[in-house]
Amino acid sequence: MKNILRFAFILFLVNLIAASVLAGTYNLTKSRIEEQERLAQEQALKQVMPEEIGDRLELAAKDGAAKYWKVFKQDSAQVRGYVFIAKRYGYSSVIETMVGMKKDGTITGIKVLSQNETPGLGAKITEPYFIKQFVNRDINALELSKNNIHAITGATISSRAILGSIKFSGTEMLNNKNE
Amino acid sequence: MKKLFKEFFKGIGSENPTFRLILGLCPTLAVSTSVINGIGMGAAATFVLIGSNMIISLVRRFIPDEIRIPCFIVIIATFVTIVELTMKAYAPELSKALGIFVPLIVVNCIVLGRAEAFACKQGVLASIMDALGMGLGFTLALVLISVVRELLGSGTLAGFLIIKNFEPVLYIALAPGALLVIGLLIGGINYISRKGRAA
Amino acid sequence: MNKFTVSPSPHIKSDNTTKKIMWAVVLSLMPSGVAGIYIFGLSSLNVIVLSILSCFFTEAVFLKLRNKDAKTVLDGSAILTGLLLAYNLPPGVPFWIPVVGGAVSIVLGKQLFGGLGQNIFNPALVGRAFLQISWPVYLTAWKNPKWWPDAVSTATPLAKEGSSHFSYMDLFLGNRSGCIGEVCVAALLIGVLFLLVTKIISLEIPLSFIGTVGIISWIFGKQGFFKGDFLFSVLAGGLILGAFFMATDYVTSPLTKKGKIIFGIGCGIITAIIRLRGSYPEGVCYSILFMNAAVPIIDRFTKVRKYGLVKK
Repeated sequence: MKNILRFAFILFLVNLIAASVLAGTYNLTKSRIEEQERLAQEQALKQVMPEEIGDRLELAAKDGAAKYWKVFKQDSAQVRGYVFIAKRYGYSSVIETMVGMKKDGTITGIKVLSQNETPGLGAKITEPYFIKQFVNRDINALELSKNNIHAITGATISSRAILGSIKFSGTEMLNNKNE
Repeated sequence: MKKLFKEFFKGIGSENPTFRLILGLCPTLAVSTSVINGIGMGAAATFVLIGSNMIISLVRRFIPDEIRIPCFIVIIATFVTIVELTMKAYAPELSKALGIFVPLIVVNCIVLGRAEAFACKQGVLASIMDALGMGLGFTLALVLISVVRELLGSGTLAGFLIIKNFEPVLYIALAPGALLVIGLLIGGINYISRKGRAA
Repeated sequence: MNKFTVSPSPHIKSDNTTKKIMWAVVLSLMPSGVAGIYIFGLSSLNVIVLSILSCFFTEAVFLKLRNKDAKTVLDGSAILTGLLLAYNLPPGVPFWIPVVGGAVSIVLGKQLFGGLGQNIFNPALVGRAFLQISWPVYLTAWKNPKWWPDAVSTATPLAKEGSSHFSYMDLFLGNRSGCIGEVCVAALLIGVLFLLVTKIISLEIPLSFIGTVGIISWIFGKQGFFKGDFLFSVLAGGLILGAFFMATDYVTSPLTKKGKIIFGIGCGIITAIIRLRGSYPEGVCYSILFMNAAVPIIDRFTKVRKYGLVKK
């Protein structure tokens, strides 16, 4: 009995010291970590939506529809564009893409958020040379062809899935927007 | 003095945690895809090793045998969390690349192994030297593996393009390649050391 | 006498040697190679020659390094490995693909384990898997038969896309894209017939392997049950080549009849799962490798009754 109390006390002491040390570290790094996380998210959004078009985002959740944000320029109340998440099953995984789009349907940028396609083939959808092709294209005119979006060699299905999901979600949003 | 050096060098050479004791393979295989990751992981583990070995050696007389393992784990976890928070605050890219493997240092066999096998029986200075040696040995092994993997797997070294017009061997960059490279390196090291002993 | 079956003891001595068997298998693969060259043109021949040369020289160098008799390289096993590796490659690959593949096959697949008879995995398939993972773009750049109007790359019949364009006759004769040695099923079957007549291979593994793939594809191949295409799943891809020539490799397959059937069914299940659900179109190569690893366990659980012992 006496031993158990002694063990408990020592364990308590060790934990107390550890916890206080950690609490201190947490407080020291907290603001810095939050700053880094904010920067990371801002960077992702900035990648798909250049600042000239809009720099203020507002989450506009609609029931049933996919998640999207309205983009505003500074304090103006006029919607300048949208950022939305497009999803579709590719060759072996769901490809999730963040897409920035102007109000008239011109794509400003895309970023693949998650995918698990075949390494070396379908996984190439994350590479800049493929991503860049989408910029400045009209969302309604997207297609896999020689003068539009070039499919990745050996990964037609993944290329088609990402293109199809962007086109589908984008056109649907343009048709149903409620402002 | 001589003894301290011995403790230091055994971690790098004769008792290298990766190539000799084959400990802590999981993070080794997972993060050795690039040299930067390898160095980052090695540094994080070395810091945890030094911290935990030092503290455990200091308090070894106060901690009863029966509850030593939970105490060690708490001490190790504390240092790991410090590393994790610091990395998130000051090196977010590295923290993202290493991902789950930084928090997993808690259960890395090398750290608990050194606490159990060395620090709880030896003096503070010897324990620090032991941790430094083991940490450096681990880091060196990681660097060696990741140099091979990054060079063959993506044709770069520390992010710089080394071989032009090279078709990267994707196999080496993926998980099975890690097993292959580490196996061949262990084989090579055994071959060389055996030859050295024979001569 | 011309009777040869691999089985546990007791054995009768036969005049078959490793060398004879290896060369017989090489011979049986000839028709398929000729068909591949005829269908895809001379680039197929390049791949075959480079692959064989690479295997041959790597084997010779490694035998020398391991202080073995370098003349063993002539036992035909390295040449067979090179041939099988080439048969598993698309005809249009760059020249260094078969060279690297051959070296990897021999070094990682065979010599590091201790040479012929010691290897756990089929060496040719080790090389093929390494290439497939490392350079998937080249390994899926299929060429069409040379008499087709546009000679650019297309998907193989097995890829989830273009299944419906091929008739059974196209698949059987090789009027389709694919690997060099797998396209012409008719030519492969000539070789199979030869191996069966000479009793070099037995039917347990191939039949259970092919049957399992066919049945699973028939049940689960399309939306709804029992609507898949049995014959298509058997003829398309490298199933015939894999089941008759690679899964039956003596070193890496079980000894007993029961074991062989388990081995074949296992290969079939894994192949079908990879084909239907995996991220690669073809699963024959990986399924055989997987089951190779299981051979020691299969052998342990399918021990035959000791000779002369009475069952209690």
